[in-house]
Amino acid sequence: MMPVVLGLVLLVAHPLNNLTINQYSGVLIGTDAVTVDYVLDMAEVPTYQVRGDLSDPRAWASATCASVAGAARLRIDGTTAPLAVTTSTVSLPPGDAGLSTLRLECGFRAPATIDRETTVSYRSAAFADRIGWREMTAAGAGVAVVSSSVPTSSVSGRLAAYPQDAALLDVTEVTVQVRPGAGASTVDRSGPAAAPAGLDRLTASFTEFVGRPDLTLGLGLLALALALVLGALHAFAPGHGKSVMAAYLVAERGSLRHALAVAGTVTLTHTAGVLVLGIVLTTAIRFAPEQIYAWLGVASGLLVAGVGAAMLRRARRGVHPHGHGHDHGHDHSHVHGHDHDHGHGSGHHHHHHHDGPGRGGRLRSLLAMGFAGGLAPSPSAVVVLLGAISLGRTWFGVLLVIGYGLGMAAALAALGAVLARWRPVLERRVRGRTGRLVPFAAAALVMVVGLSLAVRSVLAV
Amino acid sequence: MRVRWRLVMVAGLAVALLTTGAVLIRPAVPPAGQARPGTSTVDDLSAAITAREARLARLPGDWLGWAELGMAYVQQARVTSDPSYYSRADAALARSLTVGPDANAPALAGLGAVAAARHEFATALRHGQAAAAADPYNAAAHGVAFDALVELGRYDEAETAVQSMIDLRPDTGSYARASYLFELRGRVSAAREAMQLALESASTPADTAFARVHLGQLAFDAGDLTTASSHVDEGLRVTAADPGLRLLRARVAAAAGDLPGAAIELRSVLSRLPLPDYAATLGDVLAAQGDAAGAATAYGLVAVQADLLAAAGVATNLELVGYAADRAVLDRTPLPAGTADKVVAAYRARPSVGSADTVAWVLHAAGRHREALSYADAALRLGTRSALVHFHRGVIRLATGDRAGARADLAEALRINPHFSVRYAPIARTTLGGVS
Repeated sequence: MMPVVLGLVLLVAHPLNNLTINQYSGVLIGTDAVTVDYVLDMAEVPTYQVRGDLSDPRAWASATCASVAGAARLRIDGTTAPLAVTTSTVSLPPGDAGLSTLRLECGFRAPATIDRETTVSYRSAAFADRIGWREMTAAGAGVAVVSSSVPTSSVSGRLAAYPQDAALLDVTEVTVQVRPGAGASTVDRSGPAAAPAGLDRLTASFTEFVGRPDLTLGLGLLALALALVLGALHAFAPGHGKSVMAAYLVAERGSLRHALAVAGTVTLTHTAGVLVLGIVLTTAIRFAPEQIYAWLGVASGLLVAGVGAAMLRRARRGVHPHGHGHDHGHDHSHVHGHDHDHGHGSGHHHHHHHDGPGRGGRLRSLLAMGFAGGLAPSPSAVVVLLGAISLGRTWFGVLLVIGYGLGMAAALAALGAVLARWRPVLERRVRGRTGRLVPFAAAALVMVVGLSLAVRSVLAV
Repeated sequence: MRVRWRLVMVAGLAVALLTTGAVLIRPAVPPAGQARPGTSTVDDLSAAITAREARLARLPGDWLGWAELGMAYVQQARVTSDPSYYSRADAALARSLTVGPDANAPALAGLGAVAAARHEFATALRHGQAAAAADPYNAAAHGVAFDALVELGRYDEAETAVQSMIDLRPDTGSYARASYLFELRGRVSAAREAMQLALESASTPADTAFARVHLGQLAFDAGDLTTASSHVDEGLRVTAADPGLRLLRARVAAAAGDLPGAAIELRSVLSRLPLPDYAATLGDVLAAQGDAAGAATAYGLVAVQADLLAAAGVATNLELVGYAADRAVLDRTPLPAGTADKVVAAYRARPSVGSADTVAWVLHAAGRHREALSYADAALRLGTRSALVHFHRGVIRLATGDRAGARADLAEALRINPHFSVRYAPIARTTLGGVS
């Protein structure tokens, strides 16, 4: 044929992706190993090119995984760690024009001990000169991610559905800073066995839901319901001031209304916090969310400790002003209680325990409590929001975060209602000296928990 | 009451935050992780695209910025052979026209370039001419019009367009176009000089490689393997991986008799960029070596891409049909039914001399030699010095019984370039011996 100038030779209108070799690498840093979840998605033309070698697909898969691992470089604090191939599977999904495409999945693993702050970098050089989508993610399992150059979840669902109109990704390198202990991806595992594994799995399936390419109304509603459940579970997960709130309600004779106020504040603060963090994370180019979580944790802890101090002061005043507090045989002086409008309507009509010193102080502590409870945004809610944004489903993400907050509120209100109902019974049993000590003990507990929260967060900064 | 009021304040603040969040977090902001520096192996072009995208996210009313982004996407599509960039280019250019002034020449020229890339040459010409009318001093507009006019077989108008382009902007793009027109008209030395000017005004390694490829190809087409080889070497010194240069190096090697070396080079290029042109050349080399199975696999790669285009509903692609005709002539692989009629229809939309040559060869492969002859004559109507086109007409003339005409064309083909094809040159020699 005649030579054609002006690059017209390249202008043959290939349908999208027929020539591409697409790759995804999900780096997961655990306490004792770094694993890589590698996916290779070949379009029809490159699949045709390798078809001669596919007579034994298993052999081809393990050989190709081995060469991909060989072309990759994992460095842990600057030292190269060799990757071993743990799994390799290949399938040939049908493509256009009666041709096949190819999907190869490899698992790589390198032992690593993360016992101090560590820099992990991973670079893949496989199929470097081919046209295609190259995506990487990084996450920690049992270690805290301090900073990362890539997102934690895949925008293509591990090459299952490429986002429309997104720029072709070309990420071949990732650098992650990790440190031992709980981080964003591990917060929910740090407590007792109540929530941990199940909660994480729930969050994972939740994120997957948001990423489904075929999101229908039914699935959307299901995701919303899941968001409510997750929020409720989150409220009972340790480390979020629920025990503190319980102690507060016991000490301050909170009613159902108080519980509702705290729950509402928690929800609003939390939702607003997640959205603000979402804005920051999507607009700032490079940002370490772990730092934010830590500082918010410090603020939250200090606020709780402050509330504890105020409670302690009120408890002291509640006992001492009349000097004969010790002989009362009843744990509470009525002298200061003028606020009969508080605490009704919650079903405990027989025991009108009145509010402590002044409604202003109470309400301030109450709102501060709720604020502290909602201040540190739940990483899983942030992840869900970011996932939705990257898929162009911002409104859906916001809706889910609100659902999450409502779930939290419902759980906290339920807890409050139970406490409000059972407190009178409790008080009838605990009388005398012990009874009078209850507010002090509760206030002290609130302070201690607040301070420990703050200290723990400071250590994580 | 004060308490309630405060609660209302808190609730109001929260709602305000929620609303701000929902408004600010729009997907228009590129998701974190997609535009981060330092994590990807972006080349200059995609870096420029990223910068432009970021700028346009801040200044969505920048009509020139949108047009430039659209053109950058067209460039990217050429460089990466990823046609998905064309729809992105379309969107950016349409945006430019929406926010831009009435006489938006850059966006119109961009739309013309996208249409040309999609082989919609009438549309490309319309956009190119509209762009040139909107701004007669826009060189790119004349370039787009030139490209369309050449494909539409309107060479005199194309000459006017390329002259305007050179007057406005004497650079690699305008000189290369002039060179191509000279070449089509058989003025080989003028074509060479123009391409030399294109090389001298090259400002990027890609431009240099482009000019070297065409200087080398001009030398090769004239049978001058030494000069072709030196252009390839010079070019590879600037861009070691350029697939066009490596394809030519393989062709030169094969012409010089180094078939295994050519095959190694072509396999390496194909493993990177599996374009039909490279696959067909590898098939020829392997067939010339006697490796029928290897050749069939390589030719299969061409057929696969033709199948994919057909499945995607793309109109008949003349380049790919030309390869199918080669298979029919050389390997007795029958043409798909109806191919000849489709090709004749495609010619009406793209009546260039190159198309005429393809149509002639397909009609010959389909056994319609008389019709083929008129297209073969049309293919040589400008006096193009192409060994392959003369070979085609010689074979067709022989099939119509014109032995003298066949002899003249075959001799001319071998005179122009005795190495024009590893498969057809030997056939030309034996046939010529038979008719002499």
